[in-house]
Amino acid sequence: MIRVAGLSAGYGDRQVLENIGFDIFPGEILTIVGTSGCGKTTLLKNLIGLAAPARGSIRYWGREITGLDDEALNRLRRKIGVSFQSNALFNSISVAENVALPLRESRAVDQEIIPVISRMKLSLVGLGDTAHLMPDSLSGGMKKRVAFARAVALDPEIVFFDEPSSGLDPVTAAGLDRLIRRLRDLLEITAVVVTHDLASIRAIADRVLMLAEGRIVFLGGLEEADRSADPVVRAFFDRGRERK
Amino acid sequence: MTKKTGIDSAGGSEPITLRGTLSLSEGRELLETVKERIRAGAKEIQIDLAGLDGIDSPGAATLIQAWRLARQKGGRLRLSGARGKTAAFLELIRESFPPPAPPLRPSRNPLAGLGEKGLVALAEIRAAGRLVVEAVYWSFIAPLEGRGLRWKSLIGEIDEMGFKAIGIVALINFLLGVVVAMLSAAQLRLFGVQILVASLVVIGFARELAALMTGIVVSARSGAAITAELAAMTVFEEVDALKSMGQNVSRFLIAPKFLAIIVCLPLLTAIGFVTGVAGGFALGIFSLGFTFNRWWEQTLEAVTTGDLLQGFIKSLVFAVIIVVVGCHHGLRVKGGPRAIGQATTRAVVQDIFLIIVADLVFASLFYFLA
Repeated sequence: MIRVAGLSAGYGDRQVLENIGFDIFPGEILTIVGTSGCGKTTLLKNLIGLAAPARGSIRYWGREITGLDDEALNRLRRKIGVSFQSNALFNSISVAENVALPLRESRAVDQEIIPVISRMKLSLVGLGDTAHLMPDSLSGGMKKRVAFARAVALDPEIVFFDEPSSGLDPVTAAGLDRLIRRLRDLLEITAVVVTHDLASIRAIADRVLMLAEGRIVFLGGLEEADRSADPVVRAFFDRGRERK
Repeated sequence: MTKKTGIDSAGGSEPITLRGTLSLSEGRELLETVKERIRAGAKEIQIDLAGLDGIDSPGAATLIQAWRLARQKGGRLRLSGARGKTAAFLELIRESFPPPAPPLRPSRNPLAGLGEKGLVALAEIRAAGRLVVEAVYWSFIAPLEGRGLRWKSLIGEIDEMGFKAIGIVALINFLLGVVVAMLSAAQLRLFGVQILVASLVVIGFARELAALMTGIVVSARSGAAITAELAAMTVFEEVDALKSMGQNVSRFLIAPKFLAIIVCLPLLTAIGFVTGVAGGFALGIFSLGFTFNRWWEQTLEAVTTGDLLQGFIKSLVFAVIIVVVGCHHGLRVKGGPRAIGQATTRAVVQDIFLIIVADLVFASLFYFLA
């Protein structure tokens, strides 16, 4: 579905990612993990075309996206959904209007059914009765759910979740983990989840891609990660076991 | 031969059968079929979903619309036979079927609304008054009691509000001086007393124009900046963080701005006065043909210490208006980034309005006292 090869990226002279390559397969939940500053967000920004890599290739369904112009990128982005770490909800419009926004802008569906789809997506994340509320009046967990609803508004084939459980209590975070799995199963999407929350990783990941100092230090299943002899991988996953 | 995706409808009371995937185009067709059945007087419409392999959001939305439409017309739409993922999807979105209840709005009595607005205005005035008292205390009294002033912050504010505004204040007043001189020269030429342009310009700038124009420029520049900065700090919880650290917001944030503008605005007004008068000089010497000495003598002869004092007092009052309005709107903001913009706009409009009202009050006062 997505193939990344020889990707190097950074900011100005500072290189954050160095020559990384991996595949994302249809229907899987791939978690991108690592400690703070390891390059997770930079990788995510490159994957969704918000930043351009210095070198390397990113292919969606066989089509190279590096170097695409804005119009072509926007066409591609209609097939992907993104839930941002800060939620990025517009506080000046209601929850339903936030979810309806991509639908209105894409003009892919009839205007009169947009409110129905918007409410449906909110029902899908368990917030059908909040449509008329303003984002300000929602709790942190509810805002995340609205962001999820907006990310899946256009029936994307792949959804990126950036730190979905950050700043939330364990119970709410676990609820969001269940929701990501449910969305994946029900909507048959591919999910890429950027996180450093070990409990979430264990709850949702089909595969784990671990970054350290801009390189991939591990790519595989959870059991493999637990058995890994690599000291960086062990330090990350053992800490999870210690906390348990 | 059956189609892979589509709708079968034999009409009458026979179920409408869906096959394949229900997407937007099939959904539109379904909606039309349901409408036809309703027009034909059907009260109960059955849709058989057993042949559906998949359903996307627009398709599901049209199904919901058909269900609502039937209900609106006093009929009923029954869905049956959904299986697998279609059933799971419909189960999850079942609360979307009834139309959303409109949010309740309390009925409002116009008089109650008016009273409410009055109370809000009173509360705003009280809050602004408290802000003035706190700003005066933390700027002038607390430092005398040994409760320190944030000098570094004060110097930064003076640089921002005062030093960096010199250029624009000087330029605007100079240009206004030229304009005022041109306007009055055209009229006074009729009476052969064009030299009085010098008097008019110097008195106008000393009493009114320098303070007014400088006040408006500083309001648009620094007043807006004060509101935007404090509003952003409020929205992003920096003000709450300060409070939680036991810091006094008035001392930490308002006092440096208050003192800075009290110092800067009269000085900027003085600069505005000099450059405004210079604008008049430029016209008088280069266009009207007067000598420098003649214009200078007329200028000195016309202006009095009282005129200069009027401008100085006004500039102090304008300074208080700008900083109080700016801080008041900045600290009371609620909401997100849009609220920051709204608070800033409101603050600048209110600044300019209050500056002109205050100017009118002073002009009336001095006029009648004189």
